[in-house]
Amino acid sequence: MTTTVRETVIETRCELSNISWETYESLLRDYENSGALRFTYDKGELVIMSPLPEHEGYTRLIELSLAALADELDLPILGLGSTTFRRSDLERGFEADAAFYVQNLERVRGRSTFDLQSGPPPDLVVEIEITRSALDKLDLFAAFGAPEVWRYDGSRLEIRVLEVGGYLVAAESRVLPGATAEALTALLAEGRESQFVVPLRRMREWARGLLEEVGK
Amino acid sequence: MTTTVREAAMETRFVLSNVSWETYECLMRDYEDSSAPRFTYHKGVLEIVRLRPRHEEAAENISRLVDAVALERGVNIRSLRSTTWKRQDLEQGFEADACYYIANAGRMRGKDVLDLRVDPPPDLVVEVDNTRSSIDKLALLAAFGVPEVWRYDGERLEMRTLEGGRHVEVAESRALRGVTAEAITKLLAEGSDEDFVDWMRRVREWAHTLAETEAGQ
Repeated sequence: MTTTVRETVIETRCELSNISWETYESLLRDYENSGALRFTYDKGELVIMSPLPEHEGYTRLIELSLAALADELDLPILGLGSTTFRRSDLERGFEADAAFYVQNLERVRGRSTFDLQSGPPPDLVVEIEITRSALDKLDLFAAFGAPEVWRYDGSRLEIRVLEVGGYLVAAESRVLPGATAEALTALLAEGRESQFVVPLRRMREWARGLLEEVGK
Repeated sequence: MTTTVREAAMETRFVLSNVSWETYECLMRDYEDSSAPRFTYHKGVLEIVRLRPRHEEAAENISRLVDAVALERGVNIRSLRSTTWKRQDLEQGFEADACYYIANAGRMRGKDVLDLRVDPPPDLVVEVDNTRSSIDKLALLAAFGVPEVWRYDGERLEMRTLEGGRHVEVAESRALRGVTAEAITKLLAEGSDEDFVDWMRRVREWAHTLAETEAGQ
């Protein structure tokens, strides 16, 4: 006996070309109060992504580890999650998995929108790229001048810092001194093993351990 | 023993569930000169469908069958392929795999700007898909008042005509009399594995015989 099973293909990502800035803005308005999707726009190219639960798990872990580290460093940070950063003059816009103001925090305090024609870009942008996007996000972040990007591909976290000509791989963060790609990779692996249930206590312990090591 | 055959999808879908009419119109303007991907809009839900080669091939073969019948019969049709049909009052819009004015072909000849507030919907709409849509396409086509729909899922062609607000399955086309769902299903199955020239010749013979039979009645 033979049974036929139909393949169903529900995409979690959609790429559209020839999209006008007007359409992009209209879509952002439709999704203003919903963080369910991520829109990235680069001169007519639009990528819409619905993140998977695993994706969100990593994002939360990174946010928590950052908060713990900043706390230990006594450094105030502002986490903006997937806030839309856009610049109509560049015809580009993005919503990262997480974005933070650290060094430039005072300059954006109290702001509610991030149309970046005025004001600094986020100091740190976090991208979880389990499935790779067609758009070169690094190029996009560089156009905005974001000083640092953390990328995680499901097994390795990579820290990149902006230099003339593009992002260079770095072992340690500049935005959060002491945070190394190696230690973050290890923490994310630990998080995955515990199905993303990591106590805050453990986060603090990790952050403390990291800074002690640097202090040596 | 049971063997499971995985049938390849003929299209891939992406659904946005929170899209305003304004955004839909903006998108349709961006895609004015392009037929891919295919957009369907139903009250805030936008479905973006990308067609795989088997889908395009099936749609093309169905158009060839329609053309052959029309030609042999001497029926003037107007084929509008995947033109965008939208109605703001219904908050709905669609792009078919093929669509035709047949009964209304004369009236719609040469008309470039279609306005569904005054113009009739296409007489026949062809829909190919073998994956589930999140929008009830039949209900949508009924809302537009499309008199006849042919649906093909890669195996079987189904004909439906509008009766009292919904499309009910029929064995024979009303838009093109004498054409049966069974005959089209058979020809499409042959079309997918036969040489183009052999198949096309047979399609013409079939259409010719059909025209003679109709004329004789």
